[in-house]
Amino acid sequence: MNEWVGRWPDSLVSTEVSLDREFEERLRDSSGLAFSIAFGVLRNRADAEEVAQDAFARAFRRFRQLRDRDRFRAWLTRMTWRLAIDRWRTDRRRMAREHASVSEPWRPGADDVAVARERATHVWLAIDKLPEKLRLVVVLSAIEGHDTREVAGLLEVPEGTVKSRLFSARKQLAENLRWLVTDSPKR
Amino acid sequence: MACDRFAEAIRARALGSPLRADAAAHLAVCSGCQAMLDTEKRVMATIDTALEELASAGPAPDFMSRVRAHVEGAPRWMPGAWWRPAAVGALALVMVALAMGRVLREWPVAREGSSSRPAEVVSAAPAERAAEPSLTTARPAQKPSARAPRRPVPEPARLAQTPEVLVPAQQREAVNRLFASLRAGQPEVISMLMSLHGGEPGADPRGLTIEPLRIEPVFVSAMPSSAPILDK
Repeated sequence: MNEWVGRWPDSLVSTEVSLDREFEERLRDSSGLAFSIAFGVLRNRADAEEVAQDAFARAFRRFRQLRDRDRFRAWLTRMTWRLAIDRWRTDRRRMAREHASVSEPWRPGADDVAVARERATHVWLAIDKLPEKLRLVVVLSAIEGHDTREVAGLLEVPEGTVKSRLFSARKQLAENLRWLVTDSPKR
Repeated sequence: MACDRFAEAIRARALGSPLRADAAAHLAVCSGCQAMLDTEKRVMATIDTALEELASAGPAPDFMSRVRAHVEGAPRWMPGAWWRPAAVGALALVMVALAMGRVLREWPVAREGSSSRPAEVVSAAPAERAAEPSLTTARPAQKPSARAPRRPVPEPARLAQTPEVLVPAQQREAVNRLFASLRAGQPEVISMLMSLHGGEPGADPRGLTIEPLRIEPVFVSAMPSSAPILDK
């Protein structure tokens, strides 16, 4: 049986409160980041929100273990990316169905919105096929307000590495998507 | 031919790399390479347009409140508590291992006990050790010692031919003497026994007062092969 040993020390209570307050601040700062990363992988709002929620729940459970709180965003980025990739792999069947739906015959003269949507789908499918390191750089760079320095901070790698990966990624994308803007589309 | 030489540089230009002077000079006069550069720029614009979707995407307005509710429902991982489940698991493993060891140790005994019958005989005839004075029971001729290799468990049929003999304590010495004489082949002992059977009981001049000597097999339980053999 447990025995009552006394009051919980005030110092610990205040630490707990300050931790919650700090986490709340981090949550407010980074909720958009987590959502965008998940959305960049899943491209489905509901799925992305769900993954971001799971990432924050994990971050909350382990927040006390994070010694350097300035690394929270990098930590959250890795966690969200991993969760999103796992979810994406699980849902690959669904993605394959979406791929089938956009692989309808090319229809010249279709309205601009439909064409743009179809092109975007092909771009994202090409991004999905990139190696994971390049894919992550593309997604993080595409998030509003992220320059290469910011991405380097999130990935905790040198800025030159980010530039190199981004160049390689865009080069591969261009090679795979060149047919989109030529007269004879590749199928 | 010159276009092929500058193709890579022109594609890199579309990706944002600076153009070399010779490639720039060629591009200024080559319409084919200019068209290629335009195509590459359109490809990159298509990619950037698709990626804008990500830049503009945002969570629903109630996303933060849902995250808060989700997070508050999640248990917080206490520092230093990681070893507790590991310790419980390790303890459970040790207990299971101990239980398994005990079962395995007892298994052969249980198996023998389930199929064995009561042993009819446990030792050899006393003639081999008749001279030993300390015996109240005629013991096997070769007593197993702690250093001696363990004998295999004898089969019941073989043991039945070498019964162990129990005698009254006060006649121990006389019986030992008798067996020693028999072993030495002394003929007067034979005649003494003849006279005992033929004459009056208890009239032996050497103190052997036994009434007609009864030698009976003793029925004892078989000892398991794994049980320790005690010398003393």
